[in-house]
Amino acid sequence: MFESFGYFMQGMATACQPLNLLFAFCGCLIGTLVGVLPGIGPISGVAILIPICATVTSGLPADQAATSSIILLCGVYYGAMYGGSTTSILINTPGENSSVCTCIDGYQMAKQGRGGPALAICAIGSFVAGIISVIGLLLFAQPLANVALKFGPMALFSMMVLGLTALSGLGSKSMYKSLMMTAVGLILATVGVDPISGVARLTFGNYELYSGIEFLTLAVGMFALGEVFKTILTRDYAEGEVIKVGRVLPTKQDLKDCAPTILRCSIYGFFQGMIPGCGASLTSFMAYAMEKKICKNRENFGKGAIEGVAAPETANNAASGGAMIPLLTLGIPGTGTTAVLMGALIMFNITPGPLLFQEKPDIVWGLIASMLIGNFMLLVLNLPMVKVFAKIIETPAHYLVPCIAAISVFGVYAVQLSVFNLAFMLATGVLGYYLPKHGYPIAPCVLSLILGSMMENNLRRAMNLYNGDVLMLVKDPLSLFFLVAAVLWITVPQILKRRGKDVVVEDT
Amino acid sequence: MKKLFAIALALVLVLSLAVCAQAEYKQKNVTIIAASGAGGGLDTAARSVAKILNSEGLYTAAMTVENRPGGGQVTGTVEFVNKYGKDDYALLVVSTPFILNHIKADGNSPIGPEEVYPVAELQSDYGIIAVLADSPYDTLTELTDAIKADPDNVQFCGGGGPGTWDHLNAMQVAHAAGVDVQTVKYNTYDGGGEALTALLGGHADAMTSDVSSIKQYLKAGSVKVLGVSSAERLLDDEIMKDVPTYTEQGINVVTSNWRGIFMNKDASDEAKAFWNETIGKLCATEAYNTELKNFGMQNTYKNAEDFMAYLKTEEENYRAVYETLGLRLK
Amino acid sequence: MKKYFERYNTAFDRIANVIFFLIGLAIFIYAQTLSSSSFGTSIGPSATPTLWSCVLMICSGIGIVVSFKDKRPPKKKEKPLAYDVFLPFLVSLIVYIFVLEPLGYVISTFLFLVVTFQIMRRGEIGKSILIAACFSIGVYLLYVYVAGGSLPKMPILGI
Repeated sequence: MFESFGYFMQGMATACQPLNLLFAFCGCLIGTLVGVLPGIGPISGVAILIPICATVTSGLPADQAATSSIILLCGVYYGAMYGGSTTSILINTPGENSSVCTCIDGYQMAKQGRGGPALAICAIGSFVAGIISVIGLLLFAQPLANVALKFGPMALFSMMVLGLTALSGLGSKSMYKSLMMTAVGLILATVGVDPISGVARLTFGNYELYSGIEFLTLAVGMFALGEVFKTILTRDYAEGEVIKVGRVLPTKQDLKDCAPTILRCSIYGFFQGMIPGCGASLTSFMAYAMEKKICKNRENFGKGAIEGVAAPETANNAASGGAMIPLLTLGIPGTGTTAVLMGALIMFNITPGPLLFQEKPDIVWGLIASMLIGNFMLLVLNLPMVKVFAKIIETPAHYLVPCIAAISVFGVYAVQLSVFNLAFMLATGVLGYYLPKHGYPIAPCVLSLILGSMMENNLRRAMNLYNGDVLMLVKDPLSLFFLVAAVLWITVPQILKRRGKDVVVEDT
Repeated sequence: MKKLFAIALALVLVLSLAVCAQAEYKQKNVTIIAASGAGGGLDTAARSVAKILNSEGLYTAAMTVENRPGGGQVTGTVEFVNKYGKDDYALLVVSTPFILNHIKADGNSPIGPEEVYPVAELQSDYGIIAVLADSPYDTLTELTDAIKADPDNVQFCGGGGPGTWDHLNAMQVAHAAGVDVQTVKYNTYDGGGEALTALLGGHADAMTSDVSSIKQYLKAGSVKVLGVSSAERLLDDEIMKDVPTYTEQGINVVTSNWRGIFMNKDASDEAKAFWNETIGKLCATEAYNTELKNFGMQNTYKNAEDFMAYLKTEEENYRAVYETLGLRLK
Repeated sequence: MKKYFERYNTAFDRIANVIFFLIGLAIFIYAQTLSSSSFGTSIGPSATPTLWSCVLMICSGIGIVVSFKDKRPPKKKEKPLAYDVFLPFLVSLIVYIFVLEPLGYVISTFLFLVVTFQIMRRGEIGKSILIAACFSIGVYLLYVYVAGGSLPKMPILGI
C-alpha cells in the first residue's frame, strides 16, 4: 500500500513535467472538441491521433515518448466524455454514445434558459467522477479486477434484464407504447449477421446491414433530426423570441441538490465501468434510470431536472475511469475506446498485461497521476467555455437549425462513411418527430438497441456454457442479484403506491 | 534502302520512347483503404505500411489511410471495388475474411480473388489454442480427448462467430483429432479481448486466438498455449519457441490468418508492376521486419503471382472445411 | 376512463398500431425461416426475433383495441403545422445526402446550407452565403487536413 503511494508520488512528478503537462492539456482540449462533435467519438479521436503522436514524439527516448503520448491519448478519452454533453444539452444532438441520456433533461433545461447551469453541472459532476475513479484506481485496482472477471454471461444477461426493466420507466406515461418502442428497438438490434450463429438476419442481402444498425445513426437521427423537424414544423422560432441564457453557473441550491446524485452515480459508474463488455452508454443510462427512481426531485425528470443531467454525465466519466482497471491490471480492454488505447500502448512498445505494473511502473503511475491532473484541467477548461457554448443557443434559429442538420450529417458520415447510413438517419429523423408527438417515446427504442444484442448474446452464451440449464440464472450469485433487483424495480413502486406513497409510476 | 532504314530506325526510336513514357508510374497521392475501423488490426497494418514506405523513401508522395469498417470487412471490400474502379492510386488492405466472406452464404461478399488484383501478402498471424495456466489440459490431445469423452464439459470461446477464421482454427483442430464438430460447444465473444476475459474468468475452458494477441499473456503466465498453427515451431520468438505445433501433436492442420494488399483489377499494368515491386522492397526492409516483430506478426511475403495462387488454394481449402463443418456455402 | 381514452384514439394511433402489428407479424413469419439452433446453443437465431415480434404484436394489439374502441374525436385543436417550410427542407436534406459523394463535401454542404437558410427565412442572401461558406470550408479543412479524417473530395479539383 505504501509502495503504491510512493510510486504514485513518482508518477505525479512525471506527470508534472512541462512536456507532459502540455500534452495533457492538448489531449483534453482535443478530446473536448471530439466529444462536442456528434458522431466522432473518443474511438475515432484517439485512433486518428495515434500516428500524429508518434510523429511528434519521435525525437524523444522511447519510454518518455510512450508516457507523453499515452497521457495525450487518455486526455482525449476522458475529454471526450466531458465534451459529449455539450451538444446533447444545447441542440439535442448526442455528441457520442454515452451522452444520449443527457439529451433528455439537458435539452429541456436549455429550452428553459438554464443551459448554462446544465453545462456547468456536467463539468462539475464529471470532475468529481474523475477524482473518485482515480482514487478507486489507486486503492482497489488489483482486487477489483479479479472481481470484474467473475461477471460471466449469466450475470451480464441478468444485468441487461435489469436494464430492460429500467427502460420501461423512460419517456412516456403510456406503458404499452413504451413497450412497443422497446420491442421495435430490440427487433432493430437483431438486424445483421448474428455473431453467435453466423446467420444473417434482416439484412435483405444489403452488405451495409451486415454489422447491424449503428447506434449513433439511430440516436442522432431520432434525437437531433427529430428535434430539427419539430422546430421547423411547429414554428418554434418564428416569433423571433430567442431564449436568453440567464445565469451561467448553477446556484448553491442546485449544487446541494445534485451532490447526492453525483456521489451515487460516480461510485455506481466506476464499478459498472470496470465490468468488461459493459460500456459507458449502458452505464450512463442505468444511472439515469436509477436516479429517476430514488432521487428527491424525481417528478421533474424529463422536464429539465438538473439531477437528470448530472446523473448520466457523472456515471459515464466514472465508467471511463473504471474501464482503465481491467486494461492496466490485466491487459483486457473492456470497451471499444480502451481497445484503441491498448493498440496505442502496443505501438509504443508497452504491452498491457498482468505484468504492466511490475515492468513499467513509472509509465503506469505517470498515467494515473496525469488522469488526476487532466480532470483539473478539464474543469478549468470547461467552466469558462460554458458561457461561450451557452451563447450558441442564442443564435437565430434560421441559421442554427440547418447547421444542426449539417453537423448531424457530418458526424454520422465521418464515422460511417456511408450514404445508406445517412438515408437511414434521415428516415429515423422523420419518425423521431412523429412518434414522440403521439406519445411513442424514442428513448426506449434507441437504448434497447444496445441492450438487445448484449442481452441476447449473453443469454445464448450462458445457455451454451451451462448446457441449457435455465436454473443457472438463479444459481449464479451475481446473476441472482440483478434479477432480484429487476423484480424489485417493478414491484416495489406498485406496492408503495398502494400504500399511498408518492412514487413515479406509469399507467397504461 | 538507306531511306527505308532511316525510317525504320526512327520508328523504332519513337516506339521505344513511347513505351518508356508509358511505363512510367507517376508517384501521386495514394489512398489505402483499410477494411476495419480505426485502431483495428488492418488499420494498424495499413498505417505502418504507409509510414515505412515514406520513411524508407520507397514512395515519395503522400499516402492516406482511410477506414471503411463494417460487415466483417465486406463493406470495405465492396466499396473499394465499386468506388475505385480504374484508380491507379488506390490500394486495399484486408485479411483472411476476404476469402471466407466470399464463400459463405450469410453475409456474403461478391468480391473474390478473381475480382481484384492481389499485389502481395504482407504478413500473417498464426492461430493458437490456449487454456488457463492451471487448467488440467497440457496438450491438444488431452483437450480433444476430453471433448470426445464428454462434449458438454468443454467450452470453447473465441472472438469470431461460426465461419470466421478464429472459429475455423479451433474446429479444424477438433475435426483433425477425430472429434465430431457438431458436438463442440463454442461461444462467440465480441472480439479477442472479451474472449480472453471469459477464459480468465473461468467462463470458458479453451480459447482460439492468434499469436499476436496471446503473447503477453503467455509471457505473464496467465495462460498455457497448447498448440500453434504454423508448419514449424516459431523458434526465433523467445516467448513462443516452446509451444508445439499442431502437426507435432499429430493434428494435421496448418493455417494462418494472412493480411494482404490489393489493387483493382482494372488498374493500369504499370501501376500493378510498380506496386508489385515496391511492396517487395518494403517487406525486405529492416524497419518493416522490426515492426512485425513488435506486433508479433510473421513476415510471409508473397509477390503477386504467388499470392494469387495462394488465395486460390485457400479458397478451395476453406470450401472443403466449410462443407466438413456443415457451414452454409454460397 | 374518459381521460384514458381521450389520449389514445387519434387517427395516428390507429394507423400506427395497425402498422406496428403488421410489422410484428412480418418479422414473426420471417423469424420462422431462420434456423432454430446453431453450433451447440439451444437458442438459435430465430428465438429473439420471434419473442420480440410477439411482444410487438401483443402491444399493438392492445393499442388497436384501445384506439378503435372510442370513436370520439380528440378535443384538442392543434396549431397548423408548417409543412410549407418543412417539405422543402426535407427535400433539400434528401438531395444533400445523395449529392454528398458525387459533388464533394464542401460544395454539397455549402449548397445545402444556402438553400435551407433561405427556406427558413428569405432575404439576407449575402450573410447566408458567408456563413454557409465558412461552415463548409471550415469543417472540411479542420477535419481533413488537421485531423486527417476523410470526407468526399471535390469532383474535378480533387482537393
